[in-house]
Amino acid sequence: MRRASALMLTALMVAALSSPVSAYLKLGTKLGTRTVTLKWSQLPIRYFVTDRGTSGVTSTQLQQAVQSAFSTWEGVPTAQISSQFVGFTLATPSSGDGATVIGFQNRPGLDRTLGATSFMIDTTTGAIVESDIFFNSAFSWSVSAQGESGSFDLQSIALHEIGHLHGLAHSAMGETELRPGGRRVIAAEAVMFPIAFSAGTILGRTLRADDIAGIGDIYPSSTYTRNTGSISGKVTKSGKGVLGAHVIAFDMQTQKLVGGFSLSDDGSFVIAGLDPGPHVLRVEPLDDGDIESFFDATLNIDVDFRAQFYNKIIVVPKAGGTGGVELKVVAK
Amino acid sequence: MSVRIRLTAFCFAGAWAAMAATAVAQVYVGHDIPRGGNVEISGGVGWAAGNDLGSISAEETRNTGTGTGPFVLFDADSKMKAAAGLQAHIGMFVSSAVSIEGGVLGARPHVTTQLSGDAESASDLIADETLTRLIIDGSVLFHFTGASFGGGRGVPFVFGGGGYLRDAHEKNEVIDTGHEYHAGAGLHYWTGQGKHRVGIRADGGLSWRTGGADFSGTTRAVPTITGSIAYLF
Amino acid sequence: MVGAPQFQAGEEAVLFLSASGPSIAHIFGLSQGLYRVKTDSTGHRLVVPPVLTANSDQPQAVTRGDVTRRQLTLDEFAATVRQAIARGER
Repeated sequence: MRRASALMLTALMVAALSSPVSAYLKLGTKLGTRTVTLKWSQLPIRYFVTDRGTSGVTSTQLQQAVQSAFSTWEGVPTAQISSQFVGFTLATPSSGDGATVIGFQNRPGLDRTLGATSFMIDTTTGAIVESDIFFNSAFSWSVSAQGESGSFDLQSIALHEIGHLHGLAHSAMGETELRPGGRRVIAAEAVMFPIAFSAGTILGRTLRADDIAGIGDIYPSSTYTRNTGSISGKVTKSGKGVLGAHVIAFDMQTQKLVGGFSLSDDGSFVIAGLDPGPHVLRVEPLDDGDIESFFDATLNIDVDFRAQFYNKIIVVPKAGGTGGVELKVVAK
Repeated sequence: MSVRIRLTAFCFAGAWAAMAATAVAQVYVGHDIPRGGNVEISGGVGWAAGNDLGSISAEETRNTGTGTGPFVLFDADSKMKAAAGLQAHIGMFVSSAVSIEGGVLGARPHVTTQLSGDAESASDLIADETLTRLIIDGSVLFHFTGASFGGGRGVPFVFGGGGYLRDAHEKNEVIDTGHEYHAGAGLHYWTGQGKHRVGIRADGGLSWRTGGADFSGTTRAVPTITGSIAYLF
Repeated sequence: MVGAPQFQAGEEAVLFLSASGPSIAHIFGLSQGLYRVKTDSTGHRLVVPPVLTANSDQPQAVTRGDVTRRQLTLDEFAATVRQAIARGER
């Protein structure tokens, strides 16, 4: 197959689709007039690690942290993914060399960015050709099993970035606060929340239900299809669909939180990867200034409504879905 | 003459002794109590009190330095409301005092979840659903025949047993199962005579229920009352 | 790069830039320094999304759906920025 010129995806993009996608938020790319989900078509994902460490972290420790992060994702029983460390390289994480490279890069100008993931995509097929991750060595890093005061936990950030590498976008499952110097996470219930926990903690090493639902959605194993279910419906305001609402499903038996988004102009949403049983739903606007972390700027995201609950207990069946939910929101 | 008199007295004494033996053997005066081999079928209504289903919180992992304990996004407090339903039993008396029976109870209790305490000020709201509940159980009854009243018509009893609990959620797509144990006391009041008779039955007790549509996995003690028409044969 | 914003020709936006010479200026915090300007149905130019403003030096929780948080016009936003600069905020 002759490969067309590759397009480098430089930004997170989720376009409004004519039909709602399943669950969570997945990275996508436009091929002509259609949008396809970013996904590795061939497994295992083969990756290199730059043979250069940073203060406090050797290249070997970097590779071990990366491998641990890959293993954490591969340990999700409802997902079917695999990876392979090919070896160390002198190359830095940069697109276009045909290799997936993960390593440190000194980016002092990106003083709010701990790490980032980029992709090279075959514009003919939408397949990921390569993906590169850099960890900003302008920050202080740690691989300590207990965390290290003042340093960011490398394995936690690697877990987040490798989630992107697999095709996951950001999760909105978290709360923040404004403080002198910027915003800080108060709490988060997803590794894929766009803002990291504070330096010194290793809380980000553990996947949450939201992350697990998302990775299973992109790379479902037979267990995912057999043992999980979904909730679907619409978010509306004055009878019209609301685009970009964040819908949270709370499992009354396991107390897991899984989120989804209304990704169509008619307000349609689907939250998949849910354990069977009773759930309650909550909807909220993404009006806390982070829309660009989730959606393509061309989308007309509606944030003018209040957070609210749904008035029915929704029961998710195994290997099936419960539909017909309408979350009617009101303007602020 | 004296011989004739003594013989008569003996005969009367023997007749009196025979009558006394019959009175001791007959426990009740009037109607026969159910006895071994009798079968009872009953059906009527049952009522179970409401019960708590647990209070839980939607929690997010808290960042270091922002406070202690998990961050509570909102609270969810669930209850099952009292509900009446239909119930039926079929049993067999293995003796006058003891019977064993199987029963079934069907009801449609209402479940509510109070959502409150939202960290982002979403208004408090009650989410609800209606379950279809089925309990299939077995019991042993001990009838206090010595404490009967009304000429033997009314017979109190105590009972105990256990069963299988099945809750179907709305649209019957998801089934939660569990088990229950029960104990209590009741009363039969029979009318008519002979082998076939009709009566009424009422009982009350406690049912300890585990599983089913319970969000916390706790065993709940639920007061129950039933009232039935019974047929004995 | 995931999280880096994209622009289209003709689009209007307020950008907070950072640079360490001799590097090219870049948007502060990837998309955190980006405020797009859109015109509503009445012709007002509004800054999107609603702006987060700190009213004190104490940490303030950012709650989604806050009814007091509204979109600012471009002029209101500029005034807010000037006030923040005057207070010495970053």
